[in-house]
Amino acid sequence: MKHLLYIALLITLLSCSKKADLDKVCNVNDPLTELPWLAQIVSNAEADSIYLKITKVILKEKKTRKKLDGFIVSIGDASIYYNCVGEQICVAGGDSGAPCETYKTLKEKTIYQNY
Amino acid sequence: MKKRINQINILLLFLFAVSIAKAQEIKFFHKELTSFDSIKNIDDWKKQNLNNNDINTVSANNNSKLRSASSYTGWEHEEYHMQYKNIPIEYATIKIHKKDGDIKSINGEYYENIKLDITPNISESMALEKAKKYIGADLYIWEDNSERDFLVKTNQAYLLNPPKGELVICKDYIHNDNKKLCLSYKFEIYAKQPLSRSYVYVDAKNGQVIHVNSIIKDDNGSAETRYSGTRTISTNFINNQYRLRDYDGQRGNGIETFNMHNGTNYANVTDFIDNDNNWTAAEYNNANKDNAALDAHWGAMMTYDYFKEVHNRNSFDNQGSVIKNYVHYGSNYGNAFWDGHVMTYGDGNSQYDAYTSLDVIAHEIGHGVTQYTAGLVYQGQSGALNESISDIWGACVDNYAGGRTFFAIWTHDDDINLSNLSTNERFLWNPKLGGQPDTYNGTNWYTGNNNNIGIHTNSGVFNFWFYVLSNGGSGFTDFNTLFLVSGIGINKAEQILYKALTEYFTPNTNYVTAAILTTYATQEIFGFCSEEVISVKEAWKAVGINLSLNIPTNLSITNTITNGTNVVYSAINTIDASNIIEENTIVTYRAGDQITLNPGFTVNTGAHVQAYTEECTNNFINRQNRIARSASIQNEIQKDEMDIAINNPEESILSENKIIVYPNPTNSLVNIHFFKFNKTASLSIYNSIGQMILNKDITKNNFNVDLTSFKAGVYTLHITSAVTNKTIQIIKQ
Repeated sequence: MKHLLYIALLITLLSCSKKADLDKVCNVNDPLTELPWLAQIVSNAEADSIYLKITKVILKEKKTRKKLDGFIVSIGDASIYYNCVGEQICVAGGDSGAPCETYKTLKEKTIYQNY
Repeated sequence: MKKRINQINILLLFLFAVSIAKAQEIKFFHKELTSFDSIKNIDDWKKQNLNNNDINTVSANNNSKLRSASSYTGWEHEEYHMQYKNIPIEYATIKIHKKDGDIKSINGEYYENIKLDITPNISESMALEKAKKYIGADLYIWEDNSERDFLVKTNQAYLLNPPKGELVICKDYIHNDNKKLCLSYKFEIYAKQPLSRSYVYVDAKNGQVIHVNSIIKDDNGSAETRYSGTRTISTNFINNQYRLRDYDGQRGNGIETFNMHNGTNYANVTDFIDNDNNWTAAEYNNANKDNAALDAHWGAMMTYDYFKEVHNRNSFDNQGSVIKNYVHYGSNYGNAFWDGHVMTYGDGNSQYDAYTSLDVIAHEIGHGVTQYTAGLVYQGQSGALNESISDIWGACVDNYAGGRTFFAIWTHDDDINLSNLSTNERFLWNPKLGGQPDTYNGTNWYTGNNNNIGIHTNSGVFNFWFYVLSNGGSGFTDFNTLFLVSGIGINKAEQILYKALTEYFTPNTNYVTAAILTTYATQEIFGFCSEEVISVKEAWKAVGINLSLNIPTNLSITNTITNGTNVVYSAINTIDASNIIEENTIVTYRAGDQITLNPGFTVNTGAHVQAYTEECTNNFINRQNRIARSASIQNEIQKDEMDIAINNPEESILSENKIIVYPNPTNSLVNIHFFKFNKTASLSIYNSIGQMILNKDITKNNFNVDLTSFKAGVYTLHITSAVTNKTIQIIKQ
């Protein structure tokens, strides 16, 4: 009975955290205003009238199976993966059109699109 | 009395001096010419504007690049430099602009009433000493033996000797007397310590330096590239070193190439530097693949030059923005990308070498051009067109740079492929080799959700269209349609593509719309009934889009042309228009027989409307005496300016068989209104390959059909009733 309770508690916690993950990617509610580096990308694109799409994502690194939060910025001919501090961690598309081989996208939600 | 005479003399001297000064002030001018002007050549202009037999002009620079860039539009540009008693006058240049052999305008800068003694008072060697003293360098390049090999290798051997002075006439820019023209010696002085390189002008009468024009803003270096042999690159000299930055003023605001040191942070980049501007393989073909940066730099130069010289485009945004290359991105990164602002290149992986070949660079800069022109959305069919257009620019720049094989020009990524034929390469000449389709909706056509709905796959169709248009070809499509394309050559094909991209395509242009719009672009450049138009249509047939099904016999236009739209309507026989054309629009009607403007047809101020009865039909052939014209219209139609019929609103104009179909384009519903309805009619809708996809009976005079479930594209509506048969082209957005 005690074990069952622990398992139930664990399942509840896991389900809660998964649900909360995408709502609070990188621990912010509104990434476009709370993350200056992301706001700068939007600002630069809008200044030059460049098509831009930003998706907040939960990624899994294929090699280590480690999860991490981030953003995929689709601009030009590339989909650029960023971590929470604005470092580029992967690029898909480009000349070859190849996907990002390092990370798998577990969850995603578009938060900005100007086309 | 004597005092008074002296005063008069002083006054006269003053007035003379003023008149001389004024007379020698440079004159800038620009003149548009008409067929009534008597200026037919440079000599006519000279007779009318120069009252000085000592001034002559010399056809020193018929700019061949300008000429070739404009040849398809019939424009030619000639440049003449002026001389006084056969001595060149610095910067005095006249430019003549001709179309179809006739001078249309002339502009330039010149001096008039020049009066100069052309005998020097000082020797050339004395003038050189004055110039050297003015520069004040510790070491000049002709004194530095260490530069010998470099100067010979870069075709600058003349710098091994002290500079020769050329007698020229030049304005004194230095002594606050810039209206004074001087006979002067012009020297090219290249100083090593401290570095400077300038044209120095020394007054041949008194030895004063009167002008210095710096030419070392940038320098040309020699680069042994990774993929393209030894090339001349434009570099920048600073702190006694050369860096991969082109600031010579010839390529917009420049080209910059940076080293990312296998990181991904653009704030941590550095310059690639070299001590002697001789970027050798021994130095840069190393484990880091540093010579890839030389390809990136030279490739960006070539791509800039291609767009400037062939399409008169100043950098990707046509505003001269700096082209920035970032090389050595990440670790084992086998790709290159355009991020909306700059290009980034990886060093490659086990399958591909560094991604800095010329076609890749042109491809990435090409994305910038598309971004600032049509803005094709990077997904679905518009994304496939976007990708394809970049591949095509890769082929065009390969062709422009020269020295490439046919295979190299028409294969994308061939330079960087480390294995044999790879399915990851893109073969414009045979897309199926790389797993791409060569037929719209044919074999290999991708419909899944990956890669933004297969943009790197479905690009094969447009790639093949451009290839077969350029080179010709025959065969069968995947749907067994026979095609036989007469190739028009890559130079004409690239003109068509550029015009379509920059003037006709819109963000969501798809394949069928692209077929129509490239045809319009071709009609505009080469004429409605030209061989090029036939080839363009046949090339589209070769990729599975048969345009002959899409031109209706008669066309009725009722939809408002909204602000900012550029649209062309074509019909084999007649066009009936009763629509409103808003401001800032360019609207073209083309019909084989007649264009009728009915009540309700309104042209707002600022709109531009053109009407042509120039269709390639028998009807038009029978009306050869009628000439196609265009006209700007503001609020009214000038009947005598256009070969069109204009119905008086006061008269009864509604013909019994008139049908209005609207809106067009549409997102969902299309309304069909009969002015006279005889109880029964039928409607058939055909797609772009001629398949009937809808057939309905019409039972009332106001009828609508829902196209919501139809894919975006152009459809043909056939309406049959007791009193009429109508074929109307509908665009589903």
